[in-house]
Amino acid sequence: MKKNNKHTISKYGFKTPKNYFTSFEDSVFEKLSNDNLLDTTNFKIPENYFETVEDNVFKKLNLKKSPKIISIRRILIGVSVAASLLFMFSIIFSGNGKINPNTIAINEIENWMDDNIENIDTHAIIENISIDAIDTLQIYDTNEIIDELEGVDIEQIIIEIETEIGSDLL
Amino acid sequence: MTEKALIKSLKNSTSREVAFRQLMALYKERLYWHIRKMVKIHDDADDVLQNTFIKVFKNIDNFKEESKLYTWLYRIATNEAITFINKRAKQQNLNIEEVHFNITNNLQADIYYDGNEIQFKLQQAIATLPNKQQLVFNMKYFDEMKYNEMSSILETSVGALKASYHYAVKKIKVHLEKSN
Repeated sequence: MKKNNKHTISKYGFKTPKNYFTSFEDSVFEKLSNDNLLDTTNFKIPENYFETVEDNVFKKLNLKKSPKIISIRRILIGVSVAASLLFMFSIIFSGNGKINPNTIAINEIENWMDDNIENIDTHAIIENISIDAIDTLQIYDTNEIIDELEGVDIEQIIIEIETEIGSDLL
Repeated sequence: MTEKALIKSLKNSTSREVAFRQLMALYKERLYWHIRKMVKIHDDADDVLQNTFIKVFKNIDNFKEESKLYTWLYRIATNEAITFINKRAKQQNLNIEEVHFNITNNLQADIYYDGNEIQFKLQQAIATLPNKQQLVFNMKYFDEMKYNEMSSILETSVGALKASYHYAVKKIKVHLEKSN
């Protein structure tokens, strides 16, 4: 009698949706499949294949002549200089030669950038840079960059750049 | 199929999927009710049960067969349910007791619960127990599990389990008397 009572209370009011247990396996297999845990193809791979891929690729890379490393900083300087020169020449030769930066409308600068920046072929710039003259890649540590930036007054730098550009153009 | 044969099939990549279906068919209901008593709400129990089997699928190669398969499954299910409740507590910035209290109080709003007044009061009383005592009480009182089995699942001595059950029953009794 006691057992019967317990059995009645065994689910103690809890129910499940209809057919929950009949479709349960399919739900789990769907999850396994979504997590790519099931072998859905018949293709096999060697044991530990994915653990050795990187090493094998690096081994192959070492057989080839190690490529010369180009300093990103120098490339950026090159690109910036080229862009600045193009900008200045186009302004100078398109007008009467006397330029007052205060008179250049913002939308004129934006239009110029839209028309010309895309035309700068960075690949061509890189190809024309003498590889031998380029430093090896200089990696900046994040902390070094943060240290550099700390205490820097960005607004002051902008004012200085504006003044410099203004005096050069005038 | 014997348990040993099932484990062998589960560890063999070519027969794993078929064996895994058999494993789920064998244990899903027992594990479901074990989990449901801990997390109370059907959707949560379903999540925990699915995660339990996924863990089993991922880790079957690490099963050393030092215990019975169902003991290992129960242990994973128990840990998954406890992890689930702990996560819920963290998400809601509550302690475990508060989570149990909230879940139980909202139980009557669950469409998959239709317990009568006595059953609901019993759930409220169980919710006041610490996690371990709830587990022991559920396994002993509702599942009628033997202390030896509980001991291997919960990795606790039979003596400690008996003491837990004794305290749990006492507290539930006091709680029910107070609520009446």
